[in-house]
Amino acid sequence: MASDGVDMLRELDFALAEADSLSVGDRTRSRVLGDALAARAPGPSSLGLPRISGAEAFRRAAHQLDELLGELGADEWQRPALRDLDVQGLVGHLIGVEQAFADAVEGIDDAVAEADHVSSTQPAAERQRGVDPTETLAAWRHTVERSLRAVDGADPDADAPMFYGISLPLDLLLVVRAFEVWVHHEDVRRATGRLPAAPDDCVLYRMTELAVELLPVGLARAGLVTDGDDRCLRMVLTGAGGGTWLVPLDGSPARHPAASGSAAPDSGASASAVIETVDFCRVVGNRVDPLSPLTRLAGDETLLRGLLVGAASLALD
Amino acid sequence: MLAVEIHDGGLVARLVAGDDDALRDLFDRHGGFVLGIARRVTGSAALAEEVLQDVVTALWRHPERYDAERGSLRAYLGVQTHRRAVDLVRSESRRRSREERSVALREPLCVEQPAGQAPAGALGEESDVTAAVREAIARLPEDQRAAVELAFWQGRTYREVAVVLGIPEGTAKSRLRLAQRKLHQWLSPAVAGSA
Repeated sequence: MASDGVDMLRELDFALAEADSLSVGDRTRSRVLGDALAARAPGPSSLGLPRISGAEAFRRAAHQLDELLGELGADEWQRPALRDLDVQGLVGHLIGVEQAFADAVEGIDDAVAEADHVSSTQPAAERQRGVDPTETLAAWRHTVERSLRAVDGADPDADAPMFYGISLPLDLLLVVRAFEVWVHHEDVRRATGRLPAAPDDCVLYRMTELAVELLPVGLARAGLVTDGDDRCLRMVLTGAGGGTWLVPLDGSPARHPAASGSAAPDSGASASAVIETVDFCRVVGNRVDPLSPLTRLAGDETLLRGLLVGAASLALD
Repeated sequence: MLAVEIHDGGLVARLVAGDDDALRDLFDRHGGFVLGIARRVTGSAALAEEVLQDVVTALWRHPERYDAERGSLRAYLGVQTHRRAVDLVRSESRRRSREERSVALREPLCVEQPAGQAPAGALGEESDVTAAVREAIARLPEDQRAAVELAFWQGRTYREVAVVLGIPEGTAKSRLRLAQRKLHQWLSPAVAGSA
């Protein structure tokens, strides 16, 4: 609401003009909504962010963490961060993941294919104990540079080697890597008393797309998929990198809504969730309780809660 | 699907996210308001519907252009509607060479800030205007003031004003209209002084 001056008078005038509202007939409503939806199809965000590559998303996420680590004081590296790890140990975990990733992509070692993400990196995390933090930071930077070199020039659509049980094209696997780096970036921020920070908008866009693509898997884990069930759930992700998707309960891929059905009072989804994109990513990263009040729900809340709990189960941690 | 958003910010965030249910909510909440202004300016049911179409489509295509810091969604839609309606009347007027169309233009609905013009605050006049608005609202009879405060300060529609005050919609409308006439009369000097 405008607070002063001419803006204030304008607000007042229009507030009072509300009394002169006219009723709009169903035919006009249907025509206006239909024409609007023809001009812009529902689903994608109007912000129109550029779609960056998985490698670029990973590079930007790594840069964000790098900047944060570069500003940490000596005592902050020893703050408890995650599980039994302090900040330095958590960076050690990331060094271990990065080494395993580069080894897999370069074909040196595929031992990570079915390995457990946490236990297999525990030795790398423990190796950082007592090490000068500047050396830990240098090692982290070195492994990131190695990963970027390893994927440079590679076909992004080719299947990447199996990685911690994940089988995805290289481009998407790099988005998974960006996702993990950002989640741990926020872990470090939390551990050192800093406010949470969203990733770069374009990185968030790629992370959101990936998470939405994986929602049917989360839905299946939550035991909510039923063959032949023609209902769907509506996910409205607001803010940068967001969009609107319908998640079918028959387990088929999430999709944007169709532009039809404009005259109906609503789109007919069984339930709707509205959530900030970055909070949705925190849920998928298992850093925000899926049952927290950050999400506005309408319709069958049990289904929506199940979907979000299923989504949180996808996190690597 | 979702209950009507009381806060414009939530509704606009959903529009940005491409939520077509939000478009329907927008239409059901503000469509009649837009049509009312358009009809008043154009004097034509057909032209008013054309304006309604343009304004709704424009907001749906580019909801990110609305800046909540600069005012309510209702005022934003009101300005867009008024501007589009005036443009349409002018173009119709030229096309048909009908001089009488220009009469509507001499009675602008509201205090519209021309594009590119600095806000009144930048001219150092806002405190006088603000004080005048506050004083004018305070002078209204109690029943009208309650309706105006809900409509103005809380951004409620006249239907919501009726529900909150426990009065029929027609009564809410008439109280707002009476208040509108008085406020226009009292605030004319302030408006003229700030233009």
